[in-house]
Amino acid sequence: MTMARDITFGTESAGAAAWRRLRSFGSTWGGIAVIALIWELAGRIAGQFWLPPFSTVIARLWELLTDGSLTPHLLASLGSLTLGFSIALAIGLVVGFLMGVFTWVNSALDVYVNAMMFTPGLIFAPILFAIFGLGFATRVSVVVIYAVFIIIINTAAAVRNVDRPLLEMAAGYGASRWTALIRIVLPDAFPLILAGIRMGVGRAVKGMVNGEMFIALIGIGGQAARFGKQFDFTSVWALSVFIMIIAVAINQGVSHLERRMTSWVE
Amino acid sequence: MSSMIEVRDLSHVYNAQGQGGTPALSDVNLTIRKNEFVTFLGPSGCGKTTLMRIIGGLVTPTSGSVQVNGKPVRGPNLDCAIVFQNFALMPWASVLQNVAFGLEMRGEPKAQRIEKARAAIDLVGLGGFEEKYPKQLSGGMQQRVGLARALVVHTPIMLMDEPFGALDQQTRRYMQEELLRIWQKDQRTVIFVTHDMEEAILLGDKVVLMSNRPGRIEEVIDVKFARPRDPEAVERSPEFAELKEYLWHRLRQMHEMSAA
Repeated sequence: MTMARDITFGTESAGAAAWRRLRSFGSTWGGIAVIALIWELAGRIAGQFWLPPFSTVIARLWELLTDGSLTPHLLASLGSLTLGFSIALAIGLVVGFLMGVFTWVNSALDVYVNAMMFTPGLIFAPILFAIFGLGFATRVSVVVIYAVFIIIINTAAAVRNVDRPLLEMAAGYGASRWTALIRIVLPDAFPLILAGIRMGVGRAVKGMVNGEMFIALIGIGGQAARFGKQFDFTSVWALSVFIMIIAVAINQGVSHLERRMTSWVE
Repeated sequence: MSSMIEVRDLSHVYNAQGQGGTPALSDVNLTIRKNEFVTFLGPSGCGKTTLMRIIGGLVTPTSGSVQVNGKPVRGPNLDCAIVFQNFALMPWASVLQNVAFGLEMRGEPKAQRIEKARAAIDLVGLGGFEEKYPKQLSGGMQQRVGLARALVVHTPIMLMDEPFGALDQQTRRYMQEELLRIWQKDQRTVIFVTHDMEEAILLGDKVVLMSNRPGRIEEVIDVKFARPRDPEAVERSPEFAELKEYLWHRLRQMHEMSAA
């Protein structure tokens, strides 16, 4: 739900800019309203047990949120998400940086990182069971596996594609290799690294829910799986909508941060 | 006047380790005196930028030697400040931070480098733009930042790699006048790489004419217009036209030789 920026030519008056923002805002929420309406009608007309009307789903979500039954699951989910993503971030930045700076590290790891990027993380679940058992550590590991590779790939690419003329400028003005790394490579790579982190967060949420649904019935994903087994599709839909809202909120938050921190990008 | 830069029997081959590298420079000998303004002129691929970069210590030559201020050049040469064709400004840093970069690398205390950077920014006519970012400036203004960054470190030598090549014609002309004005006030040795004949004559005390593949020095031409130079008077003079015609004749000769 990132607001797509219209392409504009020439200068734009303040009024026109406000109108454009309003229109973009309007079409975002208008789109949501249309989908909600179609869902509502389809749910009422079809009368299928697996497709309750939108209003029923929202009412159920409200109930889940207010009666406190979701809170412990939410906390459990956030726990594995936060820890898993932090580990993925640390590993991703360090490994990505090394791959970007040293060609030999890149040659050694590139194939595996790319292979892992497209391998579904859940395939390693049995191995993770064997190592960590059915607990918290396994769910955290799944989050790490989902999030870490996109961060590595983006960080490595960002560092490798650093602006060569700027490096030459720094050397010409007397910067050591280390200084150039801190003063040129890091800030130059920053926007692309941040983009990788944003995608990493999204994948971490996926990993969290997958781990909870298929490894240990815990957290929001676990609740969704449990409701599914009870054929309580209203609750399954309610949780799906809830997870989507969380994902969008996180994405918007990181995007906002990204825009603020990289306003200098040409 | 004593010699500032001594280039002796210099040759350079790119990718010398591999089979049949690309020869860039062959048997170059050149002496540049202190506070001399020297322009390197030649067709693209003649190695003029490579020669400049070797003097700046950014490229290590395959053979031969370069001495600056009596010392052999090994690695980036801090007696030189470089102005780049593509400006090479840090887009995330303000004008002030960009100009102060060289001072910072030389370990100047913060208060001092801000003061010096502000003075240099005023000198190139960018007063009031200290807190702007490169993307907010026009090409000409960006190169003024590049020029201020090179001036502020007060090196005995300034290396300029086709610094106005990316600018439109009027801006380029205006920058040439600015450079003459600044150099007159604050003299130092300048190597100015260009492929523009008029620019080479207008600015230089000497035009080093180079030919390509492999790059060698064809001729060093003295330009005897009095300093401080009035660009319009210089360009109107018959000597300017004569010199330009001569350079054009030589460049065409080279072109025909390499095409044959």
